[in-house]
Amino acid sequence: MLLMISLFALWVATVGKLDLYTHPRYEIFTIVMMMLGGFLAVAGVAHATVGLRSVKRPSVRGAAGAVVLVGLTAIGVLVLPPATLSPEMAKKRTISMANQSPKTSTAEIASTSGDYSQFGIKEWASVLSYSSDWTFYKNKQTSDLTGFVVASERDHDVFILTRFAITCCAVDASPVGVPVYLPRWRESYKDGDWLRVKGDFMSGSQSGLATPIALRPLGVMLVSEPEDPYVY
Amino acid sequence: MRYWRYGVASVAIVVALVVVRIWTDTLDISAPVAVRDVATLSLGVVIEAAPFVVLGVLLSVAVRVWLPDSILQRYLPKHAGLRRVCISLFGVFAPVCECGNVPLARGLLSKGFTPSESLVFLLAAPILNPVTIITTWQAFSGDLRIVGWRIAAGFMIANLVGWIYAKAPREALLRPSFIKSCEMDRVHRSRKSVVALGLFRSELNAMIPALLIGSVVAGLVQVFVPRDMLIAVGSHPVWSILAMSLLAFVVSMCSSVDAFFALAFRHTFSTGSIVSLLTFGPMIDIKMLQLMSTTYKTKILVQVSGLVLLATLLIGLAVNYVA
Repeated sequence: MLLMISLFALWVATVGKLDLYTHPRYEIFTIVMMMLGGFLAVAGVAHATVGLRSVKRPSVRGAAGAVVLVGLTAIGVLVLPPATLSPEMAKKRTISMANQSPKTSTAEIASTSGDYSQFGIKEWASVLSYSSDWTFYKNKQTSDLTGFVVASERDHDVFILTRFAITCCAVDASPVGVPVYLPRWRESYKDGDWLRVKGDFMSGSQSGLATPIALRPLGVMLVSEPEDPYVY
Repeated sequence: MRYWRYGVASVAIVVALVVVRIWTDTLDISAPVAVRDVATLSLGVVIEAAPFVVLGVLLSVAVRVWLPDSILQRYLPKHAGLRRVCISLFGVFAPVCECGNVPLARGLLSKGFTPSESLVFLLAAPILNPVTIITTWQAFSGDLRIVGWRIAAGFMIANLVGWIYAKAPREALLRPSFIKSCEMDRVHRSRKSVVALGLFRSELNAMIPALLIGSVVAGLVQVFVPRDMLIAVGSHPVWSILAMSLLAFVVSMCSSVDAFFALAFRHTFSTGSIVSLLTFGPMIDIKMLQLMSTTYKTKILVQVSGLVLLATLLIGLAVNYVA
């Protein structure tokens, strides 16, 4: 089983999809250890095969369990294509505007010179979590933001432009997002579509929305899923 | 001659697996969304944890095969309590993800550590190591309270559990199969490299299935149990602590980066519940319990989990009261 896991890890690393599963900081360590582990797994089986150490015959239940586990592993690493987490997972978890980085504190926001060109979805989501004061967002434009669509539960004409933020690996992925106000968006897009949006902000409260601050798009483009769909 | 044949067979198997993987990738196989999500989440845990398990097994094998039996015993205090205190700081020298600590703990057990000492190591090392302390400091912008409470909680709980089980014999805590494997280490053997290879194989045979089971369970729980159910109790002084402990148990994150995950809840959950997530998670989670089940009896794991949870709850309440 370690051999299958090692080969799968090395294969996804080769095709550039290792970051679908784990944070990029672990990439080199993962590759090195999986190469070593795979090599030693093969050598270890040789050690058992040539009879230097006898292999204990498993019980029937143990053998059945092993077959099931090997089968599931084989399906997971040899058959199913690598995939990102689905929009349905985002809906199961509250799309957070909460800060996931200490770098966008209220003090830092206040001291920012006004250059928001580097802000992505995660940074804007952090800002929105700290303040819904309309005077702060007035006249501010975003750069291109890329994310997938998740329908807002509060307003019919609003969707949340979402990305998954991961800290360690896919299992801790938390959705972060920016609300986008686009009347009749459902006629053109659906949940899960990847969009690139650029716009400025509007006061949702003044427009009769439940969402206090929303992005008013100046341009919306349907795009394919990025090579690296997560933010960190 | 057998080795040559085996070499060819190995290469053939590896090539076959790679070919199958490349071929299935061209088929555009689609699966139900839930199946895909379970696979992604489970494989995320496996790919993140497996390198650390391999590293832990390598360290364990090095300890078991090449480390002289007496060397650890020579430098550790003779007093049991002081020994446990020293062992709870071993994470400084082996700061691997907690999943890598399980095989290392097995190696230490085979070198004469008592089961209670191994439990101290397993519970303390994920928290009391420089990587975890530094990342906690970074995530919480130098908030000494969170860092301090995490260190104190990890130290106290690990030593408390070690003290409780200090007098328990090996047979009461450890699985018979593991005790037997430790006894096999002492049997006259051939070259150390061959012994090491055999140990590596047997350790992985124990660890990898446990990791896979834990990963699949973690993936299933993540997909079919909405996380929001746990988050809804954020402001309650008691339920929030239980909810965050349960969240940490389910998410099964590596302790070296869980502080950044906890940061997202900083403003919606109490300080005590944040500390409980940062304390309980590294010690007990789905993945760790599966790995520990290779070594410790199920009854003991249930007891230890209950003890850690109770201690975490008390510490969380204390933090909420003081903070």
